[in-house]
Amino acid sequence: MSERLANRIKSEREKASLTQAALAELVGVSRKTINTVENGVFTPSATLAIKLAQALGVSVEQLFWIER
Amino acid sequence: MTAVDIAERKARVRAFGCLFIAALTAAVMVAVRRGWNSDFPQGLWLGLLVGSAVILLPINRWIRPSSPVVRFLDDEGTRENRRLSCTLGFWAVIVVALLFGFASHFEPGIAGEEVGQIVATAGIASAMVAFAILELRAAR
Repeated sequence: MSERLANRIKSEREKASLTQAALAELVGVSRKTINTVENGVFTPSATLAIKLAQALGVSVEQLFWIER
Repeated sequence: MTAVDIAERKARVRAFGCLFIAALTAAVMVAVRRGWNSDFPQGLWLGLLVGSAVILLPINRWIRPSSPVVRFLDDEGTRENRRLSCTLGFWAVIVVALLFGFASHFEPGIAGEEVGQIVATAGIASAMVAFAILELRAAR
C-alpha cells in the first residue's frame, strides 16, 4: 500500500496572509522548496517540517499527515 | 528585493546555464569525435566537464556558508534535486558504458579515449539536464 505525506501548508499559509516567498524567508529556504513541499513533490526533513509548523503557528501533526 | 527573490533569480539563471553548458559540452564532444581534434577543443571539452561537475557540487555553500542568498540558493530542496540529478547521471554512465561493452563485440576498434569521452559526457550532460529540469519545475 502506498503512503504519501499530505499537508495543509497552503491553507494555513493563506490563513496567516503569507506568500510563499514570505514563508520561505521565515523558515530559511527558497520559495521553490516551499512550492514543492506544498504540492507534495518534495518530502521535507523533520527540521523543515518543525520550522514550517512553528512559522504557521500549528503543530507538525496538524500541518502534515500520512495519506494511504 | 529580498534574499529569497535574489536566490530565485540566480537559481533560474543557474538552471538555464546548466542546460546551455550540457548542450555545449555534448556539442564540443561530438565536434572532437568528428575530427576537430586539436588541443583547444579537447581542453574546452575538459573545461566544460569540470565546470559542470563544479556546478553539480554545492561549492558556494562550502565557500560562503554564512551568505543568506547562498543559504536560500542551496537549501534542502536544491540538495534533493542535486542528489536526484547525480543519481540519474550515475545510471546514464552505467547504461552508456554497458552499451559500449556490448558494441565492442562488433566493433573492437573503439578507442578507449573515445569511450571515456562519450561516457563522461553522457553522465555529466544527463545530470545537468535533470538538475535544470528539477529546478525549473520546482520554481513554477
